[in-house]
Amino acid sequence: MNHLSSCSDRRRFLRTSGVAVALPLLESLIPKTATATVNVAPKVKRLVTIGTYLGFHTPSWFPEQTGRDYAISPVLKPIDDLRDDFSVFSGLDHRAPNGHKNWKNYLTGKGTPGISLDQLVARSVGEKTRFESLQVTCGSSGEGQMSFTKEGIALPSIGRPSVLFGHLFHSGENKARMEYLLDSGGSVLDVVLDEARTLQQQVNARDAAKLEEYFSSVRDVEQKLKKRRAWLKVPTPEVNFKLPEFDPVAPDLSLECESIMYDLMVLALETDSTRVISFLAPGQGQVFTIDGEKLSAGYHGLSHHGNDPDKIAEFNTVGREHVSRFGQFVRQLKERKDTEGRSLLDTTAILYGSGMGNANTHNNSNLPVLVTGGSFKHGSHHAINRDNPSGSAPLLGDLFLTLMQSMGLEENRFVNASRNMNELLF
Amino acid sequence: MKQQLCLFIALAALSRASFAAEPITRSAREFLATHCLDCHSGDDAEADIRLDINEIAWDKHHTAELWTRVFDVLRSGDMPPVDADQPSAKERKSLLAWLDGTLTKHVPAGGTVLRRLNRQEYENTVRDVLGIPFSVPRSFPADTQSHGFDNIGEGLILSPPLMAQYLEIATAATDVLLPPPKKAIDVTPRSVDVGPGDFTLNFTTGHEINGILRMVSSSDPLARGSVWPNRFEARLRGIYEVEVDLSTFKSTKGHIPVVHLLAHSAAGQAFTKASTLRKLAEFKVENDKVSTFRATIELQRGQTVVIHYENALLSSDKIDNQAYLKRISGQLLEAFRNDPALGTAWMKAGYQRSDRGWSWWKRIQTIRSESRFDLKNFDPESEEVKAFALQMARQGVNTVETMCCMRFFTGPGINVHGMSLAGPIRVLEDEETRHQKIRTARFLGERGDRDDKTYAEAVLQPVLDKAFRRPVTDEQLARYVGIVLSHQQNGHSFESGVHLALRATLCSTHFLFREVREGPLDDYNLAARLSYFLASSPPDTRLAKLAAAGELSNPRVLEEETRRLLRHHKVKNFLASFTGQWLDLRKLPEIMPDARLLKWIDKDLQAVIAETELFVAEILRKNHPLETFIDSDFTYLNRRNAKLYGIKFPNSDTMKRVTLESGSRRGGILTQASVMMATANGVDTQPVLRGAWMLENIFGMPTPMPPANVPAVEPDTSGASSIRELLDRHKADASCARCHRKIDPPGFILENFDPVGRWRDFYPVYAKQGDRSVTRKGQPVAAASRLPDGTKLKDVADLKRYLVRNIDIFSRCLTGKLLTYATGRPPSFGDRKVIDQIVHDVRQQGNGFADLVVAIVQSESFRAK
Repeated sequence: MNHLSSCSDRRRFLRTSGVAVALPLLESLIPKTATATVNVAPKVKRLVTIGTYLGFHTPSWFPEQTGRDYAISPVLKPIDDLRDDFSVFSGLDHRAPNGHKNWKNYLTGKGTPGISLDQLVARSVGEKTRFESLQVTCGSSGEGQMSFTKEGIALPSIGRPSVLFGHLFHSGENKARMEYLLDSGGSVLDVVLDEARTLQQQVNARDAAKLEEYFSSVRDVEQKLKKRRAWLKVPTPEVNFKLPEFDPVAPDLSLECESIMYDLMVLALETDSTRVISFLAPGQGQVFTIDGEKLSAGYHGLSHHGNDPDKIAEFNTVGREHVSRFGQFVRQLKERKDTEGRSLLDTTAILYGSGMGNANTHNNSNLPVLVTGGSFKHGSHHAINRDNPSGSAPLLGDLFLTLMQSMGLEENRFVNASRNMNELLF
Repeated sequence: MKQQLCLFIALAALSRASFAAEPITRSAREFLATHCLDCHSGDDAEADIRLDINEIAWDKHHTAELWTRVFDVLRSGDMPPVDADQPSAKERKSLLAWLDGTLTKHVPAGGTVLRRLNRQEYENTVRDVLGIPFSVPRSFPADTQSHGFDNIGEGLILSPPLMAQYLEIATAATDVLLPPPKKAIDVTPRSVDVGPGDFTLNFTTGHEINGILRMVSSSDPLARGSVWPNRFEARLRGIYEVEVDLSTFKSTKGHIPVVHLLAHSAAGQAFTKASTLRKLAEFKVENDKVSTFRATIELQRGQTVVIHYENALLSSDKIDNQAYLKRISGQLLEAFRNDPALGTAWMKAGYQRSDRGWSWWKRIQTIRSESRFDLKNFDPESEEVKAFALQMARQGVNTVETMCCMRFFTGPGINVHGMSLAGPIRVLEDEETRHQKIRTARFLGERGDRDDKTYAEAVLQPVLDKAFRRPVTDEQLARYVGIVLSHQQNGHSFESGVHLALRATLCSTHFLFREVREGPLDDYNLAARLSYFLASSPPDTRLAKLAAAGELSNPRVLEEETRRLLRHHKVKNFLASFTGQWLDLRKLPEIMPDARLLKWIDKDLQAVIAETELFVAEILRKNHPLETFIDSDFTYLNRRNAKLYGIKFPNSDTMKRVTLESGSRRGGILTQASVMMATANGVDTQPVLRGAWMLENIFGMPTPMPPANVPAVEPDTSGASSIRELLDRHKADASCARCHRKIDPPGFILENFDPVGRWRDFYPVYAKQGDRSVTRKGQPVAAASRLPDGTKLKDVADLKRYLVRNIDIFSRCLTGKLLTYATGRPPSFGDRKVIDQIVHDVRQQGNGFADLVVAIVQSESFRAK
């Protein structure tokens, strides 16, 4: 039975494959595999998820007071001017295990295999843009991994500004080769499908059923190739951006790299090249020079501050550098409009924080978390009581649900979270 | 036409769904009606198992599995449930006899479903078939385990993301063999001046003082001993000129600093070791005045130049711990001798948590400037100061980093005044390109005066033979040659055509799947199954030749080849994969032992895994009897797992074969830390989990999953009630008791091993004492148990004796595991008969492990699809 239907699917497919594919037709070809459907016109169209590998000194990150009239915390100081545009949370995490290796719970909630928030969203909104999603870092991401497919595949990040820029805005040189590979790739699949069909006649019923996995996977890949092929025909947007001559990929230049990456991310969103970006700010042993002064220890060394006030102060200096670059990113989004003429910030939900709660002890609970954009109700510090005896304290996953729901995804469960935080943000 | 084809296939499938239904005998029907149908009938049958039928359709997918299960639960007494009327022993026996007969008749050995190459097999196969260096990217999906292994046909799902990877890798791998034309690149030389402030520094690898970069350490990891310009990387492979301005800084007598320039990827990891990098130049710095050192160097694209102070006296590298402590404490004492005030201040400062590098150094300096010391009382030769220096040396890299800060001011060190790089003055062909050209030429061979078709056939046939693991048929060859020719007709080159044909090859079902044909394996399938079993790789030339000659299926040849593969270095793939999954060693990296138990680092983990791997490797290599798995007088240790076992061992990380004292608690896999860790969670032990693991992997009696509505029995960490009390309470329920009387005993016997495999007589109880966690002695461990057959066991030694005496239990289990791994299917009813025979035969021969592997390969089960 299965087999009959696959034959007819295939026939239908072959009929369309000869004609030049235009975009609208392509949309109809896209498989309805996404788990969530998208509402008519959600206000929030984009998601950016950001994590710093070594996290922050949370006592210097969480404001002391809660509610709207909190005094800005030392690390958040550089974005005090934006306080009405963001919400800061304390007490959130996934109740997941601790340790370096569990950093990846940040967006997956439960390690891998488990899909990360950004990829969950990309599956729903990604098909509308040239890139379903982008993964960005600075230089080498080291051990950091943030974005995972539902199969648990860690998606590689782009760490060179010149590569990200080339990826986004001039496919020129590689375009011909890419076109060739996509076209010939399609014909490769035709040949092997044909051959597989012959094989299917020769094998027993169980093996024939097993081969259905092959047929359906190949068909899925064919559709992806067609989509990429169609996008190649659409010229890449023209942008006015001067790329630095040199990629600052050395670890001690990662903050410099971070600024450039944020600028490129603004451009990617503005040109609607993608609607989902995840950005991981890496951390190794590099010694930063900040305002002309070399710090007294490597970044990783500072994160293991052992509660030494001098080290914490320097760790916070780096933390503030991250936050101030993030601030520049948010300010740019605030000023700019998307392709439909709406404020980029209002139509983009942004999660900022880390999978590391306390790098000093490799503790992954009570994570630093901040949300901006998305036209949410902002301006407050929401302190979640983790020790709430009723055991009903919201989890970070509940915040993820709110972010997804704001984008029109009908997700009601994220790993161990099944509520949301809509009343705080909507 | 296509429609007809589909119809034909459907009919063909239907015709195979033929008339193999057999009626159930009357007495069996009566038994079932009396004891089973209350629950297992109708549309809402319990567990979806319907037994209200008059005949068994043996040709259906799941029939064999279903009736095997019926057989199993009746035999074990798991069914009918305890609260139901029980059949008499005679009734049970006669039904089992009937079931045994009919299962034996209808369920032959065999039944492997099409096997996709798993991740490792795929990687090895692409590499061997194309003859290129190849590893799958990190993003390549892992395979899921089924029946305990990741090479089982039914568990190897092909998903769309995996197919996308196959297609992408097909292009990337083919590019290595037949590269696309390269685009022109800008080759204008440029020069870069690098000031002392333009270097990447990590931790305390360098320090800038008055416009000079000072270096004092020769530690091997770049992040601990090297610097490199942060704004230079070679744009292409070529010859570059480098100048470095260097001088010595307070060099001690007889010490002539040697500086190495090393090639390192500019976007590379900072924890790469200097000793692994290619040396570009070596300079001897003999003068405290600035000298310019020049070198003409070769860099690959993307590389930068690392400055490494090769022979600096200070280094955090550790080969031998004692020597390290002596060296560091000696250097510290020497510094104290030269500067007693420093010694006094450092002793006053001591070591506080998180002290390292500059912060520690600054703390010492503050103490020095704030206090007045009576230096007369400070004697660097005294035992007290020596002990202090030793204690500091034990702080490892933290102390060395802090001594770096000291040496930045006291020397000896080198000054880097600046550096300049220019180039490429000559562009070189990439090393990779050079290899590629050789590979390409070898692969394509000489065209001579052959026409396109003949040439394409000559190029493709050998690679297709290898890729499909059997001689390509004329029809197949024509198909792939057709790709080349039609691609040429579309205006592409011959090479592009071959490129395309190879991409298709690597996405073909004949490449990705194995064990396609029905019935007993032919020589080619046999070669593949054997080779993937023992090498996780496609058949080598010798196996392919023997298969082509039809000789491999000759039992004598097959035995020879099996023994040859067992001696081959690729047997390490089998050992790592089989042992890693059977004994769950693969799970270990996910387990992080509780910090309250012990301090645990990756090297401890490596030692624990290496012990079991080396142990199993020796049993195989030396053909030791299977009893060795259970009880042995040897194991492999280094100082780390020796410490876990409380065995005296030299202070070395090298794994060594160690003879165990007779009567020792150790010996055999049941006592190895790896297995004890894998069966716990790093924090506490749960006898139920260990017991279930033992039944599955040692006794070969898998237990059903616990019912979903029963909460797990968790240890009471307050120490109030013992785990045995908790479980005894649990067992009071008859339906629980049925499984737990089997599961619990082997679990309790192992309670003497804590979550990392250390011996214990008491459970620990943790308490908070201020900031610290302290451990108290809790309840005593009560390991004694009674097996379901009544055997009383006092401790693990008794369990080992029991298993050695009844070694067939273990042999049958291990044979089943090996056969599952080798054939990619759980053993069918027919396979079980084969297993029994193998166990018997091998025992007669002396029960050697290698002999067991040979017997498995020779068996009907191995040779049946």
